[in-house]
Amino acid sequence: MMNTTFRMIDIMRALLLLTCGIMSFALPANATIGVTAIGSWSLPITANDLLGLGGCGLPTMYESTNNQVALTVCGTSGNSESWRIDIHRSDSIWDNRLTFSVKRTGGGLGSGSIVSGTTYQPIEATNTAFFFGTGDRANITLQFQLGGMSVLVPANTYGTEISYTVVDL
Amino acid sequence: MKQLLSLVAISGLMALATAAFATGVSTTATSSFNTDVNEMAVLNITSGAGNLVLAAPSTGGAAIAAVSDSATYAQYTSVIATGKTRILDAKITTGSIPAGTTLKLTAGVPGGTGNVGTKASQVTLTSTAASIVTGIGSCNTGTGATDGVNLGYQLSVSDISSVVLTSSNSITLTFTLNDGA
Repeated sequence: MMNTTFRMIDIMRALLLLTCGIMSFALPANATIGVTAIGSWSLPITANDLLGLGGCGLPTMYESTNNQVALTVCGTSGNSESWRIDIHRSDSIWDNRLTFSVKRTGGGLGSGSIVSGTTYQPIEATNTAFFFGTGDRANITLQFQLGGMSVLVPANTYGTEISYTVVDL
Repeated sequence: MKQLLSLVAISGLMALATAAFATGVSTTATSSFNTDVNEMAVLNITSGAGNLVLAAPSTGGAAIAAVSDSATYAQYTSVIATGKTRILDAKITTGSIPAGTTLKLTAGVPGGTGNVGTKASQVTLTSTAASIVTGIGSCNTGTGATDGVNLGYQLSVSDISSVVLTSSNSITLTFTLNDGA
């Protein structure tokens, strides 16, 4: 009985130690600031968008809801740790007459702070600074603006992927 | 031994939780944007077309003069895929023109923004569709009183021997923006 008990304990101990070992390999050497994004924007444009009868045009600008995408920055060592969010986009299909901009509409929740990014700025193909913060912040809301729309933009499905990169300062 | 096992178990759970957190977060996150610009073909014919009345000539023996009206415009918005075009055509869908007469339509030069197309030559209106503007791409003509394509109608006597007195002939013309080849 004693031997059996010891054997089961040994097996459990070995399993736990093995689990710890595997997990320790997955852990970063130092804590790393991370960012997550929740949400996307899909915008159908149809004849219902026309500004009147035949002969008229489309609105030149479309705006998403003010919380279309929410970012969370976490994994900081505390409120003294500063970071910056850079933003860029990678187009799949795009028309050069279209512009795409973003602004921050909320500061989110958390003990850290957050500044800038509250006016529309174009999202380009290369990284540009969007806003700054300290500490962990959750649910930082973003709003988007599509500009340059007109009937001259050929019928097609246009798309782009927006990348948010948190930079530890 | 129990304490050691507990410690090891807690360590394992913490490692598991931290690893799960670490693998769900990275320094770059993404979101997507898509806009589906649909094809559109919306047409409006302005009101105000007058009656075409063939009047007696002022001099006996003279031919009956043709009469015309150019008070109306075709105004359209077209959004179409790259490489495709549309045609604006017209035909008589109800009624008929008086015997011995011919009704012709001449499109004015299209105006507006974008590829508004090219006017075709004068056509004789029948129940078969005739193209009056071709090569229409993505465009809009505008909606002002004189925007778009002027529609010039001309009623003339083509066979005087067939012309008979009628009180009134009313016809309906139907204009269509069709996808071209």
